[in-house]
Amino acid sequence: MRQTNENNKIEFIHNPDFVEWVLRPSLESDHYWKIYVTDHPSTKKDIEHGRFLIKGLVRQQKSLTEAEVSVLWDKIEQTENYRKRRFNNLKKWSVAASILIILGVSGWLATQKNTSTIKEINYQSIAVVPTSGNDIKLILSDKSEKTFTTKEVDLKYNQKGQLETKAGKQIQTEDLSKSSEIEQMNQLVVPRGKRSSIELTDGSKLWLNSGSRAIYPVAFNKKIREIYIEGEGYLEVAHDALRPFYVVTDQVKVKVLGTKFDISAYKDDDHVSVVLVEGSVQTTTGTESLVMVPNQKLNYKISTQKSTLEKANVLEYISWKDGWMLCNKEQIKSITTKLSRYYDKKISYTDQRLNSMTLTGKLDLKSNCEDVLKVICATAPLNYEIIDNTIFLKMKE
Amino acid sequence: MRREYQINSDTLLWDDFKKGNEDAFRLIYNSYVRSLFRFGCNFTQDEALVKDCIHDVFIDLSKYRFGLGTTNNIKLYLYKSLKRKIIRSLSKGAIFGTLDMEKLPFHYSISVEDELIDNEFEQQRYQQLDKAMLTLSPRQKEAIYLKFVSDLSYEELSKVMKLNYQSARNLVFKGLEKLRESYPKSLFLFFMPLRCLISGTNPEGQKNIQKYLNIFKKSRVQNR
Repeated sequence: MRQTNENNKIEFIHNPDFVEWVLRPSLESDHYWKIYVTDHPSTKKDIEHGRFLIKGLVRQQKSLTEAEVSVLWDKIEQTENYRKRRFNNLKKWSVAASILIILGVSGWLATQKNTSTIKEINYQSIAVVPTSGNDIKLILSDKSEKTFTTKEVDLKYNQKGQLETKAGKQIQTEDLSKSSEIEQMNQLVVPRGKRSSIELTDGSKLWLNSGSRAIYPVAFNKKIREIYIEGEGYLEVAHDALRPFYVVTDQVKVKVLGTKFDISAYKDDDHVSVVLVEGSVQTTTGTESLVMVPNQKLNYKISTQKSTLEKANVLEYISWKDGWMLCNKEQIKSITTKLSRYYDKKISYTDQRLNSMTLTGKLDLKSNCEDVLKVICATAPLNYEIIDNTIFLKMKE
Repeated sequence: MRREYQINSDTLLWDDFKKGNEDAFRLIYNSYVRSLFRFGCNFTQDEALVKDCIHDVFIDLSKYRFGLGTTNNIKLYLYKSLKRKIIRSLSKGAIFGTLDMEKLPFHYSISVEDELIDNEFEQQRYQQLDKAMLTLSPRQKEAIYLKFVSDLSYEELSKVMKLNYQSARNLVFKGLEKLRESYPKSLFLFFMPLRCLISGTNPEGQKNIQKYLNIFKKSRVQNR
């Protein structure tokens, strides 16, 4: 018996899976090792010994404070600028002959630049159409509106300046390039109960959830790409190092180089959240900037103006775009808020016991709202009743 | 035309940086400066020296960005570069010109002070581990540090330490074995249920820890 214990211990701290579990536990690995201990109760002590050893090894020593990090960066930038200036000065004298040509070119460049300088766009003034109403609306820069009665619409702006719309089985192509100057703004309004996707000219793709709005240029300019979102959107940004991509909401600005993430900024929520799936983004709230890594969620509480970063299971936040909702110990309240947005149905309950209930699992959103509620009521001891278009949830007695 | 990228790797960031993108440069700095600093502080207590070396690493990086090779492992590049700079700075101060690489210190102590450890029991375990750490050679410590704290692969850590792959593996393996032997098992006479072990932060887990702590204290008194 003792012998096996010894053997197991040697295996544990040298076992990459074990180390992975200790350092980066996940639901699956927790589950695996729980079962392992149940099956091999004699290894309990060795597991804890090994676990504590590995955990102790990575205990963080003190590191740089944020202030020290930025002081050090400033120094690096200074040295770099000094070095560049010196380099440029050298160049200036040695290539004096070519100055005329460079001047000519840069003069031309300067005039080019003026037409595409970055101006602050007042999105509030563009966003006049309410997101309520029943139909998805596309509003072109000349304020003309297109209305779609289908549940979902997919838009694609191709590089020839054409717009392809796919609403249900109907596909239309329209030429926008003639009528427009570059950088004109289009706006897509998606009311509750509807969804949409837009593929932009640079190849980036945006999924808009119910009750949301996006304002974006038909073609991006040469320096930056910027779009505005109200509500919830999931983005897959095409990589372009020379043109950073900005997502602007009323409270948070997200800077992207090429990545996948979800942003939720509903007007009736007191928080804005950003969930990063891949790549890296920089978020700015007020004056505070944060760099996020994948599987992190930024939560910005508007009333207190505080932001927090936490680890997140990204699937919970992005599954809506594929028509299902992943819940992991999710509160009934949060589920009903999401469903009510998604299906444009009022859902309420008065029983306070529901506040202490959570659900875990996958909800198929492709079916209608009642079907989803049936699934919920089969899982939790609940019943529902529809009175005057409002769905009431109750405890099963 | 839609282009697909595998964004998880460093390649993209590295490419952007080499093309002269300042954001990419800043991102690289922000992602690695803290871990580089901690790594560097193992070789010397002189924090200012480590900071200066980090400064030089990034200046070099920027200076030679257009001539940099096709390496796509930013992390490895930075670790190697920082270690080289620190050794160079330290040998300037050394009396006999160059440092003996074998004897280059590597401190790597386990931090015991922490607001998060609020019970004596856990603190004692970390103290014991810190003691066990003293039995390792500097190179064993460095290898374990690079493997677990810096999360490098054996391949990468062998390059930072200028060893072959097998020697790197051996260093880690032997180091861990030594630690395991000198880390007292008596501390684990009483084990907690795995439930509380996994969720030591929840209130129930805390209660359990307290309970086992009390049993542990009693048994110590009895043993005497």
